[in-house]
Amino acid sequence: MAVSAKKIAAEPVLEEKKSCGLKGVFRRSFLGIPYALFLAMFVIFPLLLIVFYAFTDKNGAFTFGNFIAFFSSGTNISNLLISVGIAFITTAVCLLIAYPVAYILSRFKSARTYIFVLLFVAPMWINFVLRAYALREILNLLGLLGKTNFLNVIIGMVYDFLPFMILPLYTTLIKMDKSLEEASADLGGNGAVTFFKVTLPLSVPGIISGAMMVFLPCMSCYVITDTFGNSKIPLIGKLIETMFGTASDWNMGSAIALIMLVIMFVTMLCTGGFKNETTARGNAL
Amino acid sequence: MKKIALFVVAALVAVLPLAAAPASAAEETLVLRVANWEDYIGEGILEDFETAMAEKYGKPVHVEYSTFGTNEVLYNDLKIAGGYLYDVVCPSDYMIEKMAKENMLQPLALDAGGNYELYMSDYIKDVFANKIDWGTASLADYGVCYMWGTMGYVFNGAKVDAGDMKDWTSLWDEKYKGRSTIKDSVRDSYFVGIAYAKEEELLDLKAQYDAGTLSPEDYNAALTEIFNDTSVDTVNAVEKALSALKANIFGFEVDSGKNDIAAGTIDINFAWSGDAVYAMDEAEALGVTLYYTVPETGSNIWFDGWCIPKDAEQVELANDFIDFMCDPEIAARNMEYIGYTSGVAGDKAFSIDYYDEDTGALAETVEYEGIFDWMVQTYGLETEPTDGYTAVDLGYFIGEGKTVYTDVVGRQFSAQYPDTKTTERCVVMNYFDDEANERINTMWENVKGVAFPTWAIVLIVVGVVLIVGVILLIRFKDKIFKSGGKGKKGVKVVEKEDV
Repeated sequence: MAVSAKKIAAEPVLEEKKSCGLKGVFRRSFLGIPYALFLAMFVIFPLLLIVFYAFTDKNGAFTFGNFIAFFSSGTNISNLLISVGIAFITTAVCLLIAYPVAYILSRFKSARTYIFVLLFVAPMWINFVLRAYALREILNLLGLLGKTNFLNVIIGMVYDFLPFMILPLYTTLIKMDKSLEEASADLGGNGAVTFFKVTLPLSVPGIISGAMMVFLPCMSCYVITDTFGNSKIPLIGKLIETMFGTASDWNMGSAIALIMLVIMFVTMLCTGGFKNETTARGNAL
Repeated sequence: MKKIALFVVAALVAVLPLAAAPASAAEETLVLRVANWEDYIGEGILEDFETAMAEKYGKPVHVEYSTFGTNEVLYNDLKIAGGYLYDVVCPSDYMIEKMAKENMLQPLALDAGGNYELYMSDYIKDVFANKIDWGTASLADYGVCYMWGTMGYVFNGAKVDAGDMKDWTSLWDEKYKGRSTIKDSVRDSYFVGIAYAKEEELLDLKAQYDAGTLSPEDYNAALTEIFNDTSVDTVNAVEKALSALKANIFGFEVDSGKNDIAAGTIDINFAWSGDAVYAMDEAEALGVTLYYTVPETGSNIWFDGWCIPKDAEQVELANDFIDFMCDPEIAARNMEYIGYTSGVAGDKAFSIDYYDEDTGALAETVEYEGIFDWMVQTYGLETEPTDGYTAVDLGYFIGEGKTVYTDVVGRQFSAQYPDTKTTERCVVMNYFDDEANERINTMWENVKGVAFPTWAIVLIVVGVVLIVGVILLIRFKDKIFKSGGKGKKGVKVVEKEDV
């Protein structure tokens, strides 16, 4: 979302410069108005509400109490760390599985490549709850359900998020200039050297955008821990849900949501998620 | 992202005319907005209500039916709306109390001589008026019982020793490791924790009650106090008990348990009585026999009731709706569909049409004299002592001296209609004030979460902060020192965007 926000904010400026000479009534930037409205109503306004609730107590008075309460609980911090850990492991596993797949797909010369890509993307078209129940039964058949909760959660997460990793990697790899690899070969680089010195560095934008699309939603996807981990693996998203649900503590829930937001922001900052160079993300969608 | 936004806009545009349509017709049609639990009403009931009301008011009546998944969702919806949202809602006992205290409901003014007065069980009326009472008002002032039930064990008869199921503590038994589930909801599972933590006290009370030295009323009152104890010591003891239990159970659930037990994934499911009926029906189709029992040291009894929110606009029609729900025929049809137990117990002759599931054609029409007769016919009960049949005393619910005889104990009928003795050991879980609520919520967080040792937390946090710091430092360095430019394409754009 932050990426899109930035683009929207940047575009009108450019448009204004260009359209000076057009003196037209209609400007292309007007096309952005519906989305800007959408953004204001459904992103910015709720965000302000979250900030408001996070810094107030039940009576509406300003307080840091929610944050103090969160960080003074060992269980909560452990929860947060477990969530980050699960997201990290999932991302790593997804990358390990997705990269070879994307690489092979991108090297297919046949016109049938699309069918293979389709095979990997098609699961995204089926409702996730349905797929989750199916996978749960498979885990049950394998005798894993209820025994290896942590592993089950990782399997579920990878299963759910894998297409989000394959797509950006595939788009990056297929658009890569093949002549660079040929040049590497001409200069005597063998397959491994070419891969590690040319292909891999050039696909970093795809890796980053894929990783972001897996890592960030992973931390809050509690449906998976509920379904595959029988609610035994704590996830920070679940905690937020409980706060707004049975616990009826909107202030604490908002505070945790805000903490999550900061973590996501820092992650984006670290991986350069705000940069323009990672255009693969846009292509993937 | 933009595509998604466009799609959303398109979807909104497509939906808007639909949303506007009922509004323009509202001048002609009476619209009643009802919010009920998911899957909690019989087929065709709403249509029948609309037909009956159209006759009464002489204009079309439309029910706008919404569902919710938890009491808290309903509460949040009403709170956020701040004004008119629904005309009739169906929260549980403790939530009715909470809403009433927060002035979100209006006191009910039901017509004298209506279905409620005529057919609602005296037992239910008594509980609503006298058992759940918070000084300034009672449950009866704000709610009319829709469905009620107990909590207990559903278990697989072939794999679990029925004797073990008389006791909550069996959940902690190594024998059933990884074979049971409890609720992923603090209010429900708190009960189980208390039953374990205070087992001695509960057994002592039970002994007195069995010996006849403690009257049923006093026994129930004592249990109510124990199960609603939220003192710091008790909450700590429950936390310990449930944390230990977590290692021994298959998992926490609110929805998947009834299917898991029917499918044989688990053998013991801590369940609501209506879900128990559903699970037993499902399992039967798979050739598995499940049983339902309420452990002997005490359990939870709960009630869902129809209430009218403070800002309701169709109060008269809402009253009609509540009255309609108290009709024995409607109650029976609802029970047949959802498996829970209606608070209605009275006698009024009615008939139900049954349709063939495959062809949809009318299969048979059965005449009933009232709820008692419906119960007898539905479950194949005897009203006179019969060889090999067990007596079930239902006097408390249906009326003095009503005893039925059944040859199937511990199954659907027992789950739907607990006998007098069972209800005597079932207590209502009160509404907890904010302070107590916070205490048990924190307890639940600790039970559900995993606490790393402090040194590990410090180590991990320091590690993560260091890594993040180094990465950010490198990024900043890049920005500062690269300004001379390596000549790489796109660097300038990157810098511009990064500001």
